[in-house]
Amino acid sequence: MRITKMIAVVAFAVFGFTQISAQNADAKITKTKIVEASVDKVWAELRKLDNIDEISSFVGKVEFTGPMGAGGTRVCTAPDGKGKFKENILAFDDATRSYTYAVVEGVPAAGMVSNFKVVDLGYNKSMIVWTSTYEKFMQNPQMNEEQFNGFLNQASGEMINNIAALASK
Amino acid sequence: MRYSNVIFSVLFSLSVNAQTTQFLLESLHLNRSISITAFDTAPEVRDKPIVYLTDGQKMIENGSLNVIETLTRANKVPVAFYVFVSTIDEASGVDFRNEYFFCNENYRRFFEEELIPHIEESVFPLGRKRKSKERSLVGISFGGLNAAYFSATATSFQSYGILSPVTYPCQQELMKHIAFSKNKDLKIFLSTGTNDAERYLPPLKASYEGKGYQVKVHKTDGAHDFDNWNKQWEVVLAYLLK
Repeated sequence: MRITKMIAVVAFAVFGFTQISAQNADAKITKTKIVEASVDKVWAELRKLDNIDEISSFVGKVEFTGPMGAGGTRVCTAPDGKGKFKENILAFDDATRSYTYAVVEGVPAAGMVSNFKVVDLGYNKSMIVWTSTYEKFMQNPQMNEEQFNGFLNQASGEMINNIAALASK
Repeated sequence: MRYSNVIFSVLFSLSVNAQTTQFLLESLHLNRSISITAFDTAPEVRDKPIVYLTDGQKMIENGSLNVIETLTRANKVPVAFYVFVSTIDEASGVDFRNEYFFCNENYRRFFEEELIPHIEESVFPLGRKRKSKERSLVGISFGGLNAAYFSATATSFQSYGILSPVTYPCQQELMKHIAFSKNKDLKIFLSTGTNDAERYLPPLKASYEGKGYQVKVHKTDGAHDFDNWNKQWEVVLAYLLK
């Protein structure tokens, strides 16, 4: 977790993403990124639920079990093999190009639910929207809530950037 | 809680031994009276499990109670105490199942804080507090959605019969509750007919298996109707009451 803490601190230092970070009434964190690619191309990348290790440097391995959609579970293991977090896919909808997942283990937050969605902005243009909420931060010696939010921002920002890059190829 | 509002109680025998009791229970959580039919398949047996069933009135009207009685008499299912909980308001005739069954916390509180205490302290007391493993909940269709919601949020039951669950009214909320549920060692029966609830079963099955619950899936050629559900009582109850 010490590494995670360092990452979170670094994330604060380089908090200059091209994405817009905002707070709203329903979500703790919302991140968006406009992509110069069609909504279908972006969703084609985003809907791959078991390739988090390819779009996040925080994940070295993904084990996916169950249906590739609602009810599926993915366990993401850190590159050093020391930390892992478990996510359950709560909803998956090709029609609305959206999926929602709960992080049930491995983060210092209770009731954490996140959502990815791709919005059509017209010809060859779309927007990735990622939101995350949690009910309660669990106090721990490794990181405080501000650092945790920084970590979320960095991790999600990296994933969004990589998805955008893959879709724009 | 006020249990003084049990309006009437009728006791009669369906067979030599079995007894049925009907009454209204006024619920503060639901703000109306709920019609209950308690069915004791073997009054001479003191210690037996309790099966709670939603859509109780419809089940009785469509022959479920009779099927269960026949199966019990034939020793095809264990003796048990059944509680049929109606969703139909007796005074107005309005069916409130779409209010009760869509991930409704008040309905859970009605069960856990009003119905179960009343049944187990006044109607079928045992002289000791029952454990969750002695209680099952069975629901059909949207009642299956309700049973699935209870499986994640209630602590009073250990076994759930979820027949032809239709979960779209609060699918994501349900999945979230299951994902974060702290309930352990549940026994889940899931079933679907053909052109029935097939699409709703895989997420439930996967979620339950992911939590390490004991899951049985039963598929039939039947439809989304009582003809299909009444044919399942033997396998459902044999599994839940084992």
